[in-house]
Amino acid sequence: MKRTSTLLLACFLVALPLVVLLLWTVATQWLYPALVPQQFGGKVLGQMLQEPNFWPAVLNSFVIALATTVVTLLIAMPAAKVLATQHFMSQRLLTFMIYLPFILPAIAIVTSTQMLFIQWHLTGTFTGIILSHTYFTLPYAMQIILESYRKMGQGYALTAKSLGAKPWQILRTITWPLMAPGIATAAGLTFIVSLSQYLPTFFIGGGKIMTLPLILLPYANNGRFGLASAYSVVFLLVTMIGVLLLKQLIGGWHHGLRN
Amino acid sequence: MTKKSLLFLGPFILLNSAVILAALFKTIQVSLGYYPVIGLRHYTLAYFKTVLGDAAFQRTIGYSLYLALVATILALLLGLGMAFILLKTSANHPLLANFFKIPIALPHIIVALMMLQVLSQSGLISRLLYQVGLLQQIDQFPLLIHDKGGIGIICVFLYKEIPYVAVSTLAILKQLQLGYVQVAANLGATPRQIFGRVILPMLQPILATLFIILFCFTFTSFEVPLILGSPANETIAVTAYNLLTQADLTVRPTAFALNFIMSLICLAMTLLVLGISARLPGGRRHREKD
Amino acid sequence: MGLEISDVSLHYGRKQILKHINLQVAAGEILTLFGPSGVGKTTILKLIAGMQPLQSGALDFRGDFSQERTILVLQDFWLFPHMTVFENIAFGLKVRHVNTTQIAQQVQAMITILKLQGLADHFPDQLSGGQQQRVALARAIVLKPKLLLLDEPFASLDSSLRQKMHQLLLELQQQYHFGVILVTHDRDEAFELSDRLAVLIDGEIQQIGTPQTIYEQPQTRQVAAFIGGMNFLAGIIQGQQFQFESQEITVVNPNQLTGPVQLVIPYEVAASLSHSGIQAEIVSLQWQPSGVLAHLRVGQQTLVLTNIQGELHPGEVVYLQFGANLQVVAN
Repeated sequence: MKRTSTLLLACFLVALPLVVLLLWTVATQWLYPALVPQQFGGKVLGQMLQEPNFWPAVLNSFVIALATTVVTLLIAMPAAKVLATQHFMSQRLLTFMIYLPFILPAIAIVTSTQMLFIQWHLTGTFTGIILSHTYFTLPYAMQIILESYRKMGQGYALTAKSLGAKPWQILRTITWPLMAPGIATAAGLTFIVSLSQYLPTFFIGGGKIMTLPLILLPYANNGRFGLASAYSVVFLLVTMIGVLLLKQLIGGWHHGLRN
Repeated sequence: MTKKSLLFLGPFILLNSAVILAALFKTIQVSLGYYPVIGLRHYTLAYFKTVLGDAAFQRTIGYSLYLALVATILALLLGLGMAFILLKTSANHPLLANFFKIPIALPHIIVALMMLQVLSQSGLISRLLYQVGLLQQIDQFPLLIHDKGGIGIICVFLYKEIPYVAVSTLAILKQLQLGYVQVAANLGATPRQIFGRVILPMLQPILATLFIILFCFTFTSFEVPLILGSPANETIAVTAYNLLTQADLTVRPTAFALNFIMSLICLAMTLLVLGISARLPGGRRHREKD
Repeated sequence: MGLEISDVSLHYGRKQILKHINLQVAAGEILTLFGPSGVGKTTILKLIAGMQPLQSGALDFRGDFSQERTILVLQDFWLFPHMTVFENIAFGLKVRHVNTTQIAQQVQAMITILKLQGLADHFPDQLSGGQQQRVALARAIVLKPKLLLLDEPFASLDSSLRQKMHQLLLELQQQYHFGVILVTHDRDEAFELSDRLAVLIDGEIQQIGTPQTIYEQPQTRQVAAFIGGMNFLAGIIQGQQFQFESQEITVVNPNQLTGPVQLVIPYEVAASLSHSGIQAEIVSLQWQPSGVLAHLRVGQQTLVLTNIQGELHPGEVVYLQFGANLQVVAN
């Protein structure tokens, strides 16, 4: 009983700020000290939709996050396949290497790669932003996909190979369907992480490419609660659409994998 | 290593390790005063001396350390507590348990905004206290946002990280509950012995890992202190950001020295925690003394 | 026709996994790789199947043997969990783009032969261990392999089921006439199924021979110890003459050892009472399902034998003659 009430309290604390956020998006007037808005309406949402940067930001955010997800999976899957069964590096060193982006300060990495990207003419481009996002999403994806590979084991792929399947047949008929739940999780997480990036988009994009966090941060910072909340809700919608879409695309099969 | 393995690993290594090495190289180069774009070509330790000797920079580093340590330790303690609660309740209340995990997926900027709306002087809590008569005036409400103690900042990290710690440790607690605890109890271990000899050794490696990830993130995080921090008390990442977004390029070497120092602090903390964890029960280098 | 493996070595970094492996397997033969866990038995199978690149040495497939017609069945079966029994068996045919009607026919035939009727639409996790094993075999045999590589195929089955599966394997092998390289660490399985046995210890083939030869005349003390159920009698060898405990008998000495050696006497070797041979005192007798287990004393040393013909009484001194040529090994 005590435990359940603690969980209930925790969920209440999680829910409360979310409710306030939602209320701000539909409030047209909410003056101190009212607990709920004095007037409701779609004024804020209308104002947001009128902003010239709104649709470009939504579209850019979505495209960048989706592309980052594809690039991340394309890099992480083959690497994880090798690393899951590798003999040439200690497990600890490998883990350290994969997690390094979690340890090193984002601002330090972003600002110094910005100097390199300037030389390579990658600043202000989608490619540059996607590459920098991928650097930050790779640890998440690697962690999940490595775990999936280890859990699946080598036996299925070896057996398929012995039965005469070509590498791409193995990928299509065995590895992909068996790992789909893990890949979908990795893809969803990658999408979320990419969508929330501020620093790499700001520095590498050089202000030329607008995304939702780039609009949201100044509004939040300047206390424009209504607009900031509206953008937050849009942000969460884009997140949900992206994650569900990826789940659908990757598909997968749910018939009790062996442990 | 075969050619195929190299081909498979290449892109990952290129984007992961090569970026890190290149960034490190650039950081060291510029922070040591080699910055030809503005005509600097002579290596010097002056910028490091500036950062390390200047009282304002020292304060910024100290303040960031304080925020990171408080937020991380509280998140670990409360998260672990929540993990024990989820362990007992998640089977009966799966919906609540899943709802509790939502903050993990929310971006920091949005959580910072939410805290602003709840904790600021005109925020929901202040309104609530006014309504029940505990406040007569808005400015009687304590400053929780833009304050010197960084309460608002810490709240954002706790909101996001408590569920994260809970979910990460829950997986290990689940194995514990079924197997080892029963075995230990069956062998006659007291609850205290079970905690010290079974639960702690199994949990401490993941707690150490979480400490490192959370500490490094909060220590150098930018968006949250920018939105909620006090202008008088800047954090290290905000200071670096302010230097790096100035049009005046001559401050860049100082900013890069700051970047380098914060990277070193993160690495040092990582190695320290890994070293301690390895020597604790359950660690790789631990030896039973009795 | 067959496969010849010559001088195959393998190492991971500095760790040597296989040392100069030489093996042949002929059509229709069952060769067993027998040895303790973790000595590279599975690795040999993976090398043969092309799952692992060869570092040195050669694989020579002769006649209609080839790597394509060699199928590896891994330990634990690895039935594809997202495919039905039918799809699992059909997998190899499908990736070879065999047409659908033929696939259906051949898979159906396999289902009948391996007694899997009614299970075609089941998923692997709905099958018993024995059924899973049969699907794994069907999935391989439907491809008409020339050489089947079986890695501990029966390790996860209980002993009565294992017996039945041994029979089934022998029947299938008779019918389809494929060669088999079987990996096992189970002594009874190795003796029961093999035409020839190769004992692999520490990455090296210690001895190759028929099960009987390996059992009665293990080449080295390591082989004898691994097979288990062996008496070692210490003594001195000179030529064919083995002296021990002030007795002397004629033995086999293929390695031409001299000086102190061990005579190997398997527990279950046939022995009979006689007027000459090894003199021993019967210490105790113990009934067992397979016969009477006798503890004997030979001077200061002890012997255990389970296959002595004749009436035995505790305390009696007897002379033993053995039905096989006993052999000495180095200390």
